[in-house]
Amino acid sequence: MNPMNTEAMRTLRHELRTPINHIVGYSELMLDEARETRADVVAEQAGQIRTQGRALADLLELALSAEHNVHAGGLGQVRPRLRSAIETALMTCEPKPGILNNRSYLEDLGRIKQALIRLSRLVDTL
Amino acid sequence: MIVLIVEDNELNRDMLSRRLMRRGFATVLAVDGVEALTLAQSKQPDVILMDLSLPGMSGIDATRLLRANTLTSKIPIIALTAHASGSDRDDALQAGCDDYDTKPVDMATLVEKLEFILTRTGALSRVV
Repeated sequence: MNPMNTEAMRTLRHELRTPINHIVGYSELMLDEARETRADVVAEQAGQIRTQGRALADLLELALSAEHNVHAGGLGQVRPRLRSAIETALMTCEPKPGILNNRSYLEDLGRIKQALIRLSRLVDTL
Repeated sequence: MIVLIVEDNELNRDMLSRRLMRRGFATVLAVDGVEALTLAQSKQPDVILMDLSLPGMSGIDATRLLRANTLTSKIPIIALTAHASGSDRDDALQAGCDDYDTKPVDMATLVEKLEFILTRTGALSRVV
C-alpha cells in the first residue's frame, strides 16, 4: 500500500478503531456483569478477551505507524501478527459449556466475534 | 441523572448505555444530530455525550445548534470520538463542548468527567 494521505489515514483509523471499541467495550461489560454475579468462568473469559482486544489495539497502532515509517518494517511485518492475534481472540470467544442458556452472554460473545470478523476483513485490505 | 447518548453506531450506543446504566445513570439514545436536538429539548438531559462523527449533521454542528437554542444552551456536552488528534479536541471545545474523550472509552475516566460536570451544575447533589 502506498503511503496514505492524512485524510485517508484518519478514515482508516476510524474504521479500525470501531471494531476494537466493540471488542474491548463488550468484554469489559461482560466482565463487570460476571464479577457482580460471581460467574468466574465468564469473568475469566471476558478478562482474556479484554486483554487480547487491548493487544490488538496496540498492534493496530504499530501497523498504522509502520505505514508512515519505512524503518519500522512496513505493514507487511505487522499484518501476520494481527491475523494471528485475531484468530486467537476468535478462539477465546467460543461459548463455554454450561453457560449456553445465558442469552445475554451468548449475544455479547456474538457481538465480539462479529467485531473480530469485521476487523479481520479490514486487516486484509491494509 | 439523565445522559443523552448521541451515537450512530448501534453497538456503541448499546454498550455505552448499558455500562452507564450499571453505574446508576438513566440514558436516552439518539442516532443522529437531528434526533439529538429533538430529545435534548423534550427530555432535558443532565448531560449529553456527543459522537463527533455522525452521518448528516456532524456532532460539531449539532453542538453549535444546541448552544444556540435557549432551551438547550446550558446542557453540558462531552464530545466522544475515535479520532485522537488535537484539532478534533479544539473543534469540539470551540463549538461549545465542555469536555472531550476518545473511544474506546475508559469508563472510569468517563464517569469521573460526568461526575465532575454534574457536580458543577448541581445535578449530582440534587439526587445524592
